[in-house]
Amino acid sequence: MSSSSRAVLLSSLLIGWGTISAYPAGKQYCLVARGGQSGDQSQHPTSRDEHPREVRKLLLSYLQAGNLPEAIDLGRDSVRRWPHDAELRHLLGLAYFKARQDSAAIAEFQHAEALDDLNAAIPFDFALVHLDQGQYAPAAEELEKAIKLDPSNALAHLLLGRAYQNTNRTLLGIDQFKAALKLNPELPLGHYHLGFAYASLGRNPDAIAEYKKEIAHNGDNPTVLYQLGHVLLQTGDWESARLFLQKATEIDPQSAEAFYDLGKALLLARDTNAAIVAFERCAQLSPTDPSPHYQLARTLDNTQTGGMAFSQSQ
Amino acid sequence: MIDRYRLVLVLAVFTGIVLARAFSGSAAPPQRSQKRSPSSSVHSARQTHVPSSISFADITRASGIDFHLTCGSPEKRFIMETMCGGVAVFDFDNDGWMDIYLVNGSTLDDVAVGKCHTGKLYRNNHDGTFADVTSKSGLNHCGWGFGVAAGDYDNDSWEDLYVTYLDGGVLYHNNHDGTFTDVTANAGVGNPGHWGTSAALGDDDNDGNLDLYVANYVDLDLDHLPQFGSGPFCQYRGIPVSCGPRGLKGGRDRLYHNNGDGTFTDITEKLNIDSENDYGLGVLWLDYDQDGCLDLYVANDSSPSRLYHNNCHGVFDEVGARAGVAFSADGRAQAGMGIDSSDYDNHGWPDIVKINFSDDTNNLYHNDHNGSFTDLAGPAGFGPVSIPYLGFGVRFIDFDNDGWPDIFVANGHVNPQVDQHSFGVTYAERPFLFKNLKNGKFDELGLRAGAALSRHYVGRGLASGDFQNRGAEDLLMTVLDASPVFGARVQMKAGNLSQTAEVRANSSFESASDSRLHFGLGTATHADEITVRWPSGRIDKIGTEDADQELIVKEGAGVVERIRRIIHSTVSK
Repeated sequence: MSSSSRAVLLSSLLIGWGTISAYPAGKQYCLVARGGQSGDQSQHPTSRDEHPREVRKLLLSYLQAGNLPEAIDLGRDSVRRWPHDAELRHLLGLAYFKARQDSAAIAEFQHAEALDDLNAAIPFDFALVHLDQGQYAPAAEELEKAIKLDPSNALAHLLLGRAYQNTNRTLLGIDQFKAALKLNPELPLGHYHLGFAYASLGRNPDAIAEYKKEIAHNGDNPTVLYQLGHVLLQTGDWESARLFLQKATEIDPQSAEAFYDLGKALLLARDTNAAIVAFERCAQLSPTDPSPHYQLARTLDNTQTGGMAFSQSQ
Repeated sequence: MIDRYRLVLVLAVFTGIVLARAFSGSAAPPQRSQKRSPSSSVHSARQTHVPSSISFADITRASGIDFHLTCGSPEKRFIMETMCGGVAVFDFDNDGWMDIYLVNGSTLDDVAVGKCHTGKLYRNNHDGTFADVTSKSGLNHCGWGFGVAAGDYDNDSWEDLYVTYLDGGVLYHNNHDGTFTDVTANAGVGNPGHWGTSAALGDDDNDGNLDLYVANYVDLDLDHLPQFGSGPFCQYRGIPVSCGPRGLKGGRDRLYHNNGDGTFTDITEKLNIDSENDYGLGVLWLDYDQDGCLDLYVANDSSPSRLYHNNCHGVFDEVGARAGVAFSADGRAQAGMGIDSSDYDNHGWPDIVKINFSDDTNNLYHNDHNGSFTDLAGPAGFGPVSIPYLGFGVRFIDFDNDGWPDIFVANGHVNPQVDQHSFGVTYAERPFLFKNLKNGKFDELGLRAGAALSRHYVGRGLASGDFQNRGAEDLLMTVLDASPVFGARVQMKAGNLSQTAEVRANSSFESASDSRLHFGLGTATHADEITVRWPSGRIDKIGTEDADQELIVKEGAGVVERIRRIIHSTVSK
């Protein structure tokens, strides 16, 4: 499978950051996945004349309830009244971010950081905005700030590792993944990302070891299963690869990548007919990807069609 | 008639400019002044067991070779500054000992003022040292050199040289007296206006005359060079680097037919060779389908590699994609560099190794015996380890003389700027040594094979040769930014071991190697049968031959000379 396809797949995996339980409780306003504007519309503020501390609580409750219009309304009003309150700006930034108003969110985070450069939660949440936009370099900068202020945040290390890897700083990324796993050995996807970094450096035995650790507590994740199968296939262990790839396709029957590698594993196991089925499934799922067509053509060329298939594929 | 093929039936210690030499176990490299006593120079021609360890020593300084490869500025701001380093291992004086020619590059400033950096010819002194004999050799063309091919194009039994330059090529005729004459103009092989990289001599029509293929890379205008970091094709992982080859005009390769009278005819267009103007880097003659006619494999940078099938009737069909050697195992075009061929699984059919750019795996194309290949680099343990590495030279060599071809790869990136980042990719890189495990798999021993292979180099050209005629293949690797560190097929059977090899001098990257065929016999004391199929189609069968000797075989006459070799075992006792 082309590396670009894999990158897309990984990127979709990374989007899951929002669903990972994030920051240590009580230190910041960990995001949940971005979504629509839902929530209990009946929870309107009864008063906006309270102390900013009370307003922050109210604003947070709106955010947690997904009541974004109210949160933004309250946030705007409150930052007009208390323009130097970093926390209010931070929360308003989160509200904008959840409402997919990224430019406004970024502006509020920048204000918040300027007002309070000692709160690790602000650069951490700011980094999430950048990550969501695929802006890895500024995300890395924010995460570096967050970790400098709070080195104990395992998820920050993990996300920084991903940001580094997406900006071609793989070695630094590995250091961050290791740091994350040292803080939390069971951090979801920690071993997976470390394994992927190793694989990108051709360190397949190390990658396999990390993927297997991930599968030990995240065994139904088709992406992890696929990557493990992919690397096992690269190392020539197609029998093992086939097992993991088969499972990956069963869990996620839409995974063109898994079907592709499954086809290759089956081909190496000389199960040509099953390989052809897998390649055909991959081609159906990813019709513009030339790789399954190439494999089909070569497989057919080597079997029954006496060379016609390859000509047709071209 | 090509009648002088020499087959080496020996074993040896592997040697490895960076002339490096390998030693087994914990044995220390012998000092130049030490004479080996009979008891220390173990003379078994057999490998009594697989050495527990192989250690390589850099013997460049001891060899007396003092060569500085000039190749642009250290910053490598332009593409031609990244590609120098051709080397030829050949016997220019016909004394039976392998000599060395090292191609030199230049710099833009020196080109502008006409300052020359000629290549160097080193004569083998037969004692592990070499003498610089360049000054009276006549190898004095002033240009920016890249690759070299060695071969006897005029069948006078003396090896000639063809050297590629940034602006063409030069054919040097061997005058039999230690000198050479530039005969390019008369021969018609000037490759004018093209930047040649690798070149290879091979007899494509079995007329007994070596024809010449020249791989051309990019057609450059030195007055209008693309500026460093100036566009989308001048970036690597988002950082500014030298431009190309993408975005630049590819140079069309050239195939010159040898007319048998000292002249050649350019048949490129007639045979429709390289019609896409790919970025040619590696070239190899081989008979992959065993139809008795040499085919041609060309590794291209950033474009599909090409396999030209020779139909024995003067037609070359490009079959790379169908044969499975044009793309990666996933059907992607790659950035091919060096190539070589050998029968690594001793199945009797030539396989192909191709080295690629970093962030990709190298290829090990297994010959499926049906005109098609399968890239088994991954299953063979040859592929993934190469992902962060950028390789150039590559050679199949049997470093431990167990009868199974091993693989050596010269690595080194093209962009020194990578060292300023944490990509996991470095400019200087260690070379690879893959030991053939005899089961289709390889074990990469580089970090376990001594300090010489653990060091990082910017490797480029790579050639092998038995410099001391002791049955051991040594390696010669050219490196940047530092001092340096033909168609007959032979099948040899010894016990249960059957090996097949083709006579070839030109492969790897911009390099020419010792053209003698080297067969390790493993634990056997003799070869049971040797079969030679000559380019003419004639087959000579040779009976039992003892190990530890060099055979000179003449077509129709069989073995005409046996040269006993004192062999140094790979096994320390």
